[in-house]
Amino acid sequence: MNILKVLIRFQTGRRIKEGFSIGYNIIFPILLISILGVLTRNQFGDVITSYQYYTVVMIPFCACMALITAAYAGKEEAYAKTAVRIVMAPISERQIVLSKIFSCTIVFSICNCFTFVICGFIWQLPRGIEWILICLLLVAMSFLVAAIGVLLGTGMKNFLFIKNLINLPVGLCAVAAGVFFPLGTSNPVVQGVLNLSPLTHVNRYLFAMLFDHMKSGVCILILIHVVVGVFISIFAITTFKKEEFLHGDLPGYKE
Amino acid sequence: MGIYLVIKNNIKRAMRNRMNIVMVVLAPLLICVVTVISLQFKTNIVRVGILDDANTTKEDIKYVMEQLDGYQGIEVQRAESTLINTNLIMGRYHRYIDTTKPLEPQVREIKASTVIAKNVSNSEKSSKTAKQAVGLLITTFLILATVHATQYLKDQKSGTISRYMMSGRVKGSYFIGYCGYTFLITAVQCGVCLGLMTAIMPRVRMEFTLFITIVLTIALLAAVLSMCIVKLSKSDLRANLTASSVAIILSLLAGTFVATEHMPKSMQTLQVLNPINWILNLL
Repeated sequence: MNILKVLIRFQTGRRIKEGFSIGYNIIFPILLISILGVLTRNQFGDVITSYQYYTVVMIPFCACMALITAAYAGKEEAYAKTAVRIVMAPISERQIVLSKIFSCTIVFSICNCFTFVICGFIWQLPRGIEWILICLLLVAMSFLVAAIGVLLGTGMKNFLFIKNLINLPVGLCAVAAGVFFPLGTSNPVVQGVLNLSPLTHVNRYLFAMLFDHMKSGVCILILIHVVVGVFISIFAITTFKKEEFLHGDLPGYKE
Repeated sequence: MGIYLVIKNNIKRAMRNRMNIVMVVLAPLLICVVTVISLQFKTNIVRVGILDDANTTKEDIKYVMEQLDGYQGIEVQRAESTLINTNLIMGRYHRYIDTTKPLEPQVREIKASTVIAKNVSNSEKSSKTAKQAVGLLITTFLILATVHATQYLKDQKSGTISRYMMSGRVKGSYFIGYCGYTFLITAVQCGVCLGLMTAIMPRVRMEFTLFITIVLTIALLAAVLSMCIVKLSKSDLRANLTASSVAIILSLLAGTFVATEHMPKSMQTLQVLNPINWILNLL
């Protein structure tokens, strides 16, 4: 347990020093919310302002985009040529994987919750106990995203190929979920296709909680995120490949 | 000669994995087609939801349906009473009719306030769709060009550039060669993507000279921007994330997702500084 704590502390420090987690989870969402809020100021009605809309949809999207940072976190020792030391040390594979997942979760959660609270205050989202539930949802999302990212970084053979394509399904899910513009339809078939995006459900339940006072959906979402995150963490531990963890030589050139 | 060698070797390297090339062509095409199709949802249809309760009669529903359904592009449906604001916010419905209140004034108000779809000409619709499709293509290739360009950083770290310089060549020629390689590969992928898109979506069709101009301009912009970002970045993670951020912001400001005429005046004046807007103005 002590080893795990030391590893988590060390990895968390690396995530913070590298700056990407902070830049991509704080500055980027605030910038996007501001820009989109200004651009679409005239297109929203009385129920919600453009800034409020984009605050709710943009933060979960940026939380998902942290997948790339988590995947790189899984691969960083290989690129820094220090992976051999880790593998030779008396540390189990479980401790290596869990330290990466938990460190990413801690940093992403703090950044996402901070961004949400700041944006919520600036753009006056309806306040109440719902904010605590939203922060819990962001923590659960960060855990799930970190688990998937570390799975890709430590267990996938063709890391570069997969890393290059991660953006695409996340982008498609974001478009379907109405992250860039509200996407409504009355066609049940099209609505079914849009519902395939997990972000659609996240956004819907967030709006339902803030504007229609329905909390149950978010509680179920938190549970689903945690359960799936646990399964993916277990899968990441079982599929941990030492040769891929060590493999950092001329990445992308060897097939 | 050095520039030519760099371009030739990198193209050979890229062609080794054909699967990568196919995926990098098909994936942006998929995104563009899906997003342009989804943008068509923002048409002039007005969706009205009927909020009913235990006292609502069938005649009330029938009256509302007869009065509104099909009138000037209005669609009417029975709505859930639990997610009223959520459905409004997410665009499922634009207006509601509350059957617990007098129906006739509500029906009259909706008819009067519905923005009547002006008869937009087909050429205007085609131009708008083409701009959206090209805007998305530019965004996608700005990001993908950086994926190719980041291999320059790996060459730097692995000593390839040092070995190149030891053969008597100048470092700058390696960089220019890489720019040329990124330009060529982006141009080919963009050309194939835009060609497939014009084949699938008739509204995106354009003249051949305009097609070539757009492809080459997108490739040039993507290559220049990606190589500048790579030169300023120390790692490929930093380069990729910076390129994604820059591409999305430029694309938003150019009017890819939000029509330029709906933007505030100050944003419209900033368009002159946006290279993506210059390309979209070619259409």
